[in-house]
This record gives sequence, structure tokens and C-alpha cells, in this order.
Amino acid sequence: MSRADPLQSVARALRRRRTTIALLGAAPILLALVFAAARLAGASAAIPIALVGILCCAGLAISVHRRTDAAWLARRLDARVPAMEDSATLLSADAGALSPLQRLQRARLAGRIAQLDIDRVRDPWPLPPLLAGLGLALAIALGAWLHHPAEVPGMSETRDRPARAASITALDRIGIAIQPPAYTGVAAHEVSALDFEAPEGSRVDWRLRFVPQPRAAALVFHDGRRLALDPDGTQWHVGTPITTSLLYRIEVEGVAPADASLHRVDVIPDRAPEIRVIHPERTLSLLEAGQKHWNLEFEASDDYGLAAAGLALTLAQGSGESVAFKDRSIALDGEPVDGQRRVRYQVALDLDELGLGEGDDLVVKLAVRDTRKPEANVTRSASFILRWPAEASADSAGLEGVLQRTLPAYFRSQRQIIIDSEALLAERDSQSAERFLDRADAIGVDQKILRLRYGQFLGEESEGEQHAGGAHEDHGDAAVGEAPAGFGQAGDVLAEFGHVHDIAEAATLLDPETKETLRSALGEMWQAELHLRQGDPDLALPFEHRALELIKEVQQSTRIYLARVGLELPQVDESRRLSGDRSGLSDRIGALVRTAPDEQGLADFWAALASEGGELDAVAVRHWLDRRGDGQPETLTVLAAIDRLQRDSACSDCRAQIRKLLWPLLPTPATGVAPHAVPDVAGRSYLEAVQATGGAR
Amino acid sequence: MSLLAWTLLLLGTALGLGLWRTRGRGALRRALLQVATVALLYPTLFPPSLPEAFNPGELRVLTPVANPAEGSGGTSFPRKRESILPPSGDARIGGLEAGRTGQDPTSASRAVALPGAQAPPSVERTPDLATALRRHPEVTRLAVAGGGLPARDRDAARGRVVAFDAAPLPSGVVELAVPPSLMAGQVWSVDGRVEGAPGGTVELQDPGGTRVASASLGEEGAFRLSATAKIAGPALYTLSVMDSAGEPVERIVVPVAVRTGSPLRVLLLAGAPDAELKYFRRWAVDADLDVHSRIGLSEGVALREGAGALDPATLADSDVVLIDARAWAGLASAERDGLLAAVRHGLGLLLRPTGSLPPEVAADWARLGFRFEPAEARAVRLDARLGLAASGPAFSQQAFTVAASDAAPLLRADDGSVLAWSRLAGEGRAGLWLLADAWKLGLAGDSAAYGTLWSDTLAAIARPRDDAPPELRQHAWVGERVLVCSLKGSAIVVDGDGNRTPLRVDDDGCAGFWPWASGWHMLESGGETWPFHVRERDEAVALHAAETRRGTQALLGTSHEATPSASRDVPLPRWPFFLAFLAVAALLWWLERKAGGATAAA
Repeated sequence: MSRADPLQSVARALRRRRTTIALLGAAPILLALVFAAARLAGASAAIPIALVGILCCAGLAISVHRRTDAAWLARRLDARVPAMEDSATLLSADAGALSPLQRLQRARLAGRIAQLDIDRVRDPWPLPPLLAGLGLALAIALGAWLHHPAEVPGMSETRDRPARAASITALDRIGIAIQPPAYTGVAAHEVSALDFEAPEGSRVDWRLRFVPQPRAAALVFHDGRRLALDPDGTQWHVGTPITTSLLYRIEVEGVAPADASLHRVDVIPDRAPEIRVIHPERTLSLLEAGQKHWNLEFEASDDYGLAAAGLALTLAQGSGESVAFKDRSIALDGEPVDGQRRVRYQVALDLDELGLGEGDDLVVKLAVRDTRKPEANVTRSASFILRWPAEASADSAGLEGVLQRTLPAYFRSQRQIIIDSEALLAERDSQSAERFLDRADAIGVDQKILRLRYGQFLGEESEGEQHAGGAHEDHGDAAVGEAPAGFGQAGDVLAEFGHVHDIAEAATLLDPETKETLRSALGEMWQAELHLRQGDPDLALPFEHRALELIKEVQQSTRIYLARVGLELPQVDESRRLSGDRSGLSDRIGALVRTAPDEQGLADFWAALASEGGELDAVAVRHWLDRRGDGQPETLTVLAAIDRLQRDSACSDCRAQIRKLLWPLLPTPATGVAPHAVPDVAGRSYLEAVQATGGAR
Repeated sequence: MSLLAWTLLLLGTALGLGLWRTRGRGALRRALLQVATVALLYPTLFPPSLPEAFNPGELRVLTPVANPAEGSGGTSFPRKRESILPPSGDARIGGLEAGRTGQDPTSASRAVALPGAQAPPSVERTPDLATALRRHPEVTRLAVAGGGLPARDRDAARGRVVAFDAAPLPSGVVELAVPPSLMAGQVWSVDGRVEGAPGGTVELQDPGGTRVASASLGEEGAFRLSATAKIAGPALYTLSVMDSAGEPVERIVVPVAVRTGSPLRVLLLAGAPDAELKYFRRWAVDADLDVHSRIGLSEGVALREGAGALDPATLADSDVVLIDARAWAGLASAERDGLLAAVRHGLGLLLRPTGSLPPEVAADWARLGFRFEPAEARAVRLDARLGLAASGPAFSQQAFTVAASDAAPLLRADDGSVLAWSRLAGEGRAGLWLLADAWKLGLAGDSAAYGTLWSDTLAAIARPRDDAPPELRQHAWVGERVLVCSLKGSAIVVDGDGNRTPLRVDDDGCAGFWPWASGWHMLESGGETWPFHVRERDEAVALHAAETRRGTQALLGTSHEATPSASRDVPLPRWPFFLAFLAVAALLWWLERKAGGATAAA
């Protein structure tokens, strides 16, 4: 054993060195070949070459390894090491077959080989051939590299794709130029993704480069439209205006495209202008005494820009069934606030010139256009009515008008009471108790008057009518003067401090929420008044504040007033009226038509979605989705999901996804009827028995 | 030598040695105690047996108990050990109290455990109940304990189950009822009960994932949720259960199969147009009914659609006739007789009293079984009936009370009063409709509720159709038989992957099907397709447990009376003997110690 070990280690070292040299020589050339193949012919060529090369290398290594056997080793030792005395063969020979002399020689050699310098027998590194091989490899690689077409800036991210696969057509470069309509003022820009957003009406130019070059290419849209791409050198391009959101796919003729999925173009719609009405604040205004002009103020805004604005005026004259209308319109010039995107319009209507008389309504409506082309978006404001109340009109409209006109005045007054109370509290220390009580009582009287005025709208007793209107501007004197008159009368206690609610017909004029809010406000005022009159303004303040908030709520509760319209009845044939003449009368044949569209195709599609193997006929559902509204985001999402499923029918997630997406869009048909079934034999005989006994009874 | 002999030898030797060494004062007392110690140690090791009355005809069946925490396969038995079984280690024994619910608590019987049931090793295992019954042919009575008999064992157990000691149900939905057949556009309700989540909430989500209804659970856990079916086809709703803390308890699918309605032929006769006719006709036309109408406008002038004539041929073709009191009063007597004859041959007839009722009409209708008394018109609500969640309009009932003792209620208001009846008249049915203003639903835009109201009414009244749907079990699980009945001719089940399985239909028109895949299956029979849904094994575990329990409970109650006719030895428990041994040994130790001390002192 001790003899074999040194020999074996020498053999191993030699084998290792020879195999390594062989592999080092072959590997660079193999790598270079594979690289060149991949570069020039794609992965389909490179992979077989790599496999064959690896097999060759392995074969080479094995054959070198095999050839380095015991006989070869003995020859090498004999040749290189004189100390072996040409007897190295003995070392690997079977000890039993040797003569005693041979054994002696073998033992001597074994001792020498243990001290052998391994580098004397081992092959040296053959540097020149190895370097030559490396150089050859580099030359091949460089050649392959240079043979490839030159690189274009901006395509680096997609460069390695065609190298991998020549069996599919890859998109080498994507450039999509979006030219929004001029009126939008949005600059033209370019995107490099196939899914993109574009303003409505933009012209979109696709510039695509494919590797390898297809024979023909086209964009196919979800609605079946097809745009052929025109070749232009190495690029393909086509342009089209985009008005609705779209799904599209790129189709190439020849090698199958790498990316066959649907892409999406979302249109950013040009929104219609928005109108904000600054004045009047309410849809119904009543003509103030002595009012000659009606000032109107609007502000309009748009996402791109505003064009012309016009004011439509309708004068409604007369009452009951004989209302006559006069229409006219005025063009408005606005002053730009933020370029043409936000414009403010101000106009003062001359009421005399318009011919507004007593009992008439003037209805105005603003219409604003934006700059959209070819058709502008038009937004019309709500109608605003200026009413000159008829003289003796005691109807509900008149009272509502009073409410609308007078509320702002009271609103300021309640705030004034708060300010007064706070001022009184601030001066408390510098005043005598009596003076303080007097002033608090005066504010309490103000509060009472206010409460009574609001109480009118709830049908409460209208005590203090004489304080109506402008009395509030100088309430200090007037109210103090009035207070004792009410105060000394014992019989008026209820009217002073009590709530007398709900004179029915007056109360019903307000909607219930407003009424409730107003009632709460009155309750708070009553409490405030109580404390003020007892000389405790600090206790009254919270009630005053709450009353103010509630009144604000009442004012903010919006109400809609409608313009008056005339009555249009069919002409009565006076010649036959009440004559009893029935000639020419006949049955009227009705022909009710089913309004619900036929959803059988949709139902079939829905049912087929339930099972994995169900055949899907998407034509019906596509038609239905098209009818439903083209270009709507959810419609496109469903279409994209259906397309994915059609391309990959094994995709079970797709079915679930379509079910989920489609469900909200599904119509709810009119409820069908399934009559009860004919009774079976047992049921029938039971029925017969029941009828028989029933008959007998 | 046997264990017993060795033990006796050891005990004897020990006793002999002990007696030999016992000397000194009180030796006799201690010797007697030593004898007593040995005499008590022996029964501790080998407890004596007592004979026990034994009923060989009764078999106790231990069944698996579902535990949702471990999925359907898991079983657990938080039960106490029962002494009447042969002694056996510390294994927990499931549901062995079964014997107590039998008629005699002292009578013992054999026990077998079904697969999945956790039971002590000494209990005989059996692959199914039929095998157990073959092994024990003398068994005539079964006492079931645990979750209940699986569906495959119920046929074998039929007529033999005398007792069922049910394990508590797991938390989750334990009852779930969906109408077997839904019409497109119908307002439908899912009723159910949740176990173990008092004060929780349930939510119904539509296939799009939107919540369509929710309800809070009371102590009982019962709930009812309403939704509107869309177009025909299968749809999977989802029912989520949350406990009172809002934590999810269970989520199960609620499969519904929606079908399109039949194109009934409706004949509408009215003395004057009204709002109800407007909305009814609109609904009926949209629902694909074949509407023929004659609505009087004036004398000799009517609004007509289709053929409004009352000749026998038309009536034989029609499925249902709606007629109001004015139109009835205007019928010629031949027409009236023809109409009544047609009803006896299967036509449906719905009477609509509107306004006051002329005496001759009242008399005619009384002959049809509806006797009228004038009364005040009443306001009624139908929120619960139509799933409107207290937001529906207030309806009014016509100003009549009706005595119709042998008529079935067709529509009930939320307060329980009857608004419509139907009554058998020959092969057909005659109905009476007292709801004055169902049109309010249509006016309010709730066309689904309006359609559902009339759809249900017409379905009950109209001429019966000879196409009864097959009866399917409501809930199906993978690996469990689905029983299909009322089949006419051959039937095939197609599963979700398109595999077709022909069914063997027996003479009763029933067939069994064992699904091996979950999801929608289509039953194709007689040219029509009926979808049904199969759940995964580990889906709706609580519902499955409850179904098993109900199925077993349904088997209870029929058996021959059998008296105990045998006895067997039951070993006594060891612990009393051991305690006595310990006490005597301790006393002996104390006496020996005292004697030893006295000797040492001496």
C-alpha cells in the first residue's frame, strides 16, 4: 500500500494537469462559438451549439483522462526521471508475478518515487497554444459582435430580446406621438408604452420597430377596426385620431408577435364647463321696492378653456292658465380670472327695458360653451327667477318669498345680539348692577322681537308686528321703547315667554326639516331671552350662539323653485262635445312592445362562464357591451378580460374575473314566471278524492 | 406459569416472610393487617367482575364529529370517560353516553366505531355500518352517538335507530335554504341559521363582490337576506358570518341557479283602465308573457291587445285570466259559463274586485268559494314579503273582508293578514286578489319587487305545466351522493371539466350521482339543463355537520322492542381497592414503626 500511494498521487496530479490543459484550450473557443451563434442566429441556434460543445469538451476530457493510464505513466517516468532506471513499469505490475530481483528493484523505485519532484514529470502549462486559443475565441466573438447591426439610441432596454428569440417578432422600439387638439393647449408629447392616456380628439402616431422585420403589421382595435402600419425604413407607423377609449393589439404578418396581449388607450375626456353662480344666491328672488336693475354674477371654469357665454331670459307674464312667455338671449363678455379657464361674468339687467311688470317672473339661465372642437360642450346653469309678487297675492309663493327676503336681515340681528351681549359682559365691572340689568333687558327685548319674527314662519302668534323690516337697524332705541308695553300686561305672559305653535296652514308652508330646525332655533332664542331679561347675559350667550347656528342652517337649506309653465291641453272638438254622438268610435288596438332587449346571448355567455370547459361565444356579449356604451372604462375592462380568456381558454382565473367584472353590468330582466307543475299520479288521485268529497258534501 | 400464578406466588411469599418476621408486642394485630394488605392488593391488580344485563340486539354506533378548526377530516371528542365500557387506558371516549338515552341506563350493549370516530382502541372498528350489521346479525337496534350517521350509512340504519346522542354543532351556518328554482329578475331570499355567533352579523355578497344585504343575528342565530336575481344562469353569491366582535366566523358560497320563465298566455279583462293594469301589462310584456287584454273605456269601446275574446278555443290556449268585477258584470252568461268550464279544465282565474261589488258578481264569486263582506280599506305593508327592508310603500287592501275557508293563502301582508287566496276549482285554480295598489312598487321604480309579486301569484294560479323540474338535494358535497328525483327519461351529469356521467334512473325516476369535483354541474335531462353546485369537502363544515345530524334524527323512532336477554361480566373499577390498600398499608407502616421504636428503646 505504501508503494502504491506515491505512484497514485503522481498519476492523479498528471491526469488533472492534462485534463485541465485540454479544457482550457477548448472552453474559450466553445464560449465564443455559442456567443456568436446567439448573436447571429438567436437562442434557437445557440442552445444546440452549446449542448454539442459541452458534450465535445466532456468527451475530450474523458479521452485525455483515459489515455493517461499506468503504461503511459511508466513511459513518462522512464523518459523524464533517470532515477527510475527504465523500470517504472515494475511499480504498476502485480507484485506476486515478479521475480525476487524485480521485487528488489521495485522496492528501490518505490522509495525514490516518494521523493519525486512532481514538476519533472508533469506537463508544463502550454501558454502559447492556450493564449492562441483564447485569441481565436476573442476574434470569433468580436466578429460576431461587429456583424450585428449597429445600435440605435433609446433601444438599449429591448436589445437583448431579439437575441434570445428569433422565432417571435419582438417590439424593438416603441414611440407613440400624441398630438392633442390645438384648442386644448396641451403640448404634443411622446410616450414609449403601449398603454397610454391621451386627451380626447388627439392624433396618435404609433412608430414601432420590429425584430425581425415582419411582412406586414397592423393595429387591431377591440371594435374590429384595423389600421395597417406603413413601413418607413426600419420603422412602421400609422396615425389616427382618438375620440374614445380603446383596446388594441399589434398584429404582424410572418413570425408570431412576442406581445399579443391587448393594450389600452384611455381618453381623457374634455369635460363640460362648470358654472358657479355668485349672485343671486337663491333661485327665487323677489323684487325689492324700487329695484331697477337685477345684478347677476357668474363664474365659469373649464378644463381647457371657455368660449362664448350667453344669458337666456324668459319673461313669464300672466297667471293661472294664461301665462305668456317672452324669450330673448344676451351674449355675455366675461373677464378672465385664470386665463380662459376661469371667467367671471357680470351683468346688470335693466328691468324696465325688459318690461317686467307686477306679477311677472323673469327667468334667467346662463349657458357657457367651451372651446372643444368640432362640437363645443355646453353647460347651462339652473334657472334663476326674479319675481315681482302680485299685489293681493296671499298664496304660498308670496309667503315663501317673504321668508327668503327677510331671513338675511334677521340673521345679522342674531349676530348683533351676540355682539351686544359680549360687549355688555366686557363692561360688567364698570357698571352699576341696575344699569347692567337694564342693558341686559334691552338685549332681551331684541331677542324677543327676533324670536317673534321667526315664529311667524312657524305659525306662531305675530306679536310685535310693528317691529318688522328695517326696525332692526336702530333696534336699540325702538326695542327699549317697546319693551315695557308688553312687559306690564299680565295677560300677555304666554305671548311673552310661551311658545304658541303651529297655526296649521302657515306651518305647512315649510318643509319638515326646515320647520324643525327653525323650531329649535326659536327654543334657543327663548332661553336666551329668559336669561337676558334676568340680567344673566353670560348664561344667555350659549343659547344665542346655538340659535345663530340653527338659523344659518335654515338659510343654507336649499330649495328649488320652478319657473311657471303654461297649460297645454289638446283641442276639444266643440262640435261633438256633449252631443252623445258616438259615431266613429272604435276599440283602440294597443300594441305594447317589449322594451327589454333580448338577453339570450348574454345569458348563454354567463352560463358558459360557470363551467371550465364551457364554449364561449363572445359575439353576443361584445354586441351587448357595445350597445351599452362604447369606450366606458368598465366595458373595456370586461372586453380585455374576455379577450384574455379567449386567447388562453385554460385560464380559470380569467373566468372568475370576468364573472366578477360582468356581474355589475348585467341587466335585471323583468321577472319571469314558472307555473306550478302538473300533480303526479299520487297528487292527482288525492285531488280527485278531495273534489269528490267536496262535491258530496 | 401465568401472570396470575406468579402474582399469587409473589404475594404469598411476601406475606409468609412478613408473618415470619412479625414479632413482639401487637404481633397478631400486625399480622392480620398484613393479610388484609395482601387481600386488598390482589383486587387492585385484578379487579373482580360483576355480571351485567346485556342487550345483544342493540349496537352502539360511534360516529365522527366535525370540527371546523381542523377542516372536515378532523374529529375531536371533549367527552368524559364512561365506566360501562371495558377498561381501557386513558383514551378519551366519544359520545358513549348514548346508552343513557336508550330506555334502560343500566343495560349495556356492544359498540362499534365508524371511520373517523375517535374511540378507545377496545371499541370495534368498522368501515361502514352495513359491515357492522353483517358482523352482528343479531342487532336490531342502533344507538348512535357523535355527529351522526354519514349519508352512506343511513340506508343501512333505516328502521333501527332508537337513540341519537348528538354532539354539539360547530360554529357557522347550520341551516341554509335557497329557493330551488329562481326566475330571472326575481327577488329571492336566503333563510338560514348560524350556530355559535349570537349578536353577530351576516352579509350576502353578489357575484361581483358587492354587499347586497346584511342582517344582525339574534340569540337564535336565524337570518333572512334578500337579493335580486339577474339574468338566467348559475351565480355564486357569498354569505359571510361575523361574530359580535366583527371577526369573520365563516364564509360560504350560496349557489343559485336562475332560469328564464315560461311564456304564459295571459288574458286580461278589465272594466276600466287603472294604474295596476298599466304596470302589470308593462311587466308582463317585458317578462315575455303573451298578453291579451280587453280593457273597457266606454260602452262598446275598449283598449284591446291581441285576442280578447272569451271563446272556448282562446280559453283553452290561455294559461291565466285576470278579470275585475266590472268586466265580470259585463260578461254574457255564456261567456261566464265558458270561463268557469275552462277553469275546471285547468285554466287559472284571478278575480280582482275593484271598488264596490255588484250583488250578482258577489253571488257568482261566492259560488267560486269567496264570500265577500264590505269592510274598511286597510293599509298593509309587504316589506318582509318583498325583502324591502322597511322601505317599501304602504299598500292598501280593498274594502272587503273575504271568507274563503277552503282557499289557500297566496299572499300575506307583514301583519299576517291574507291579501290573496287561491282555491282549487276542478283541475284549475281560482284566485282572489285584494291588494289594491301593487302598482306603487312599479311607480317607485322597484320593478323587481313588482314583478316578483305578480310572478309568484301567476305561478300559483296559472294552468299547470307538465315540465316539473327534477328534485335535487339542496346542498351537495364532493364524495357524497347527490340524489336526483322526478327525472323523466335518461339523464346525464356534466361536470365543470366537461366530463359526462350518464345516470341510472330507477323506476321511481330517481338516480344517484357521486360528484368527485367541486363547482357547477349540469344535469341534462329531457332536453333541458339544470345546474347544481357541489361544494368542496372542507367547505361549509357546520352546514354539513347539521345536515348529517338532521339526517340521523330523521331516522330515529322506529324499532322492534327488544328486552335484554343476556348478561356479561363487567370489571369493577380499581381505585376503591387501591385506596383501601393504601390506607391499610399506611396503618401497618405506622404500627411497625412504633413497634420498631419500642424494640430499639427496649
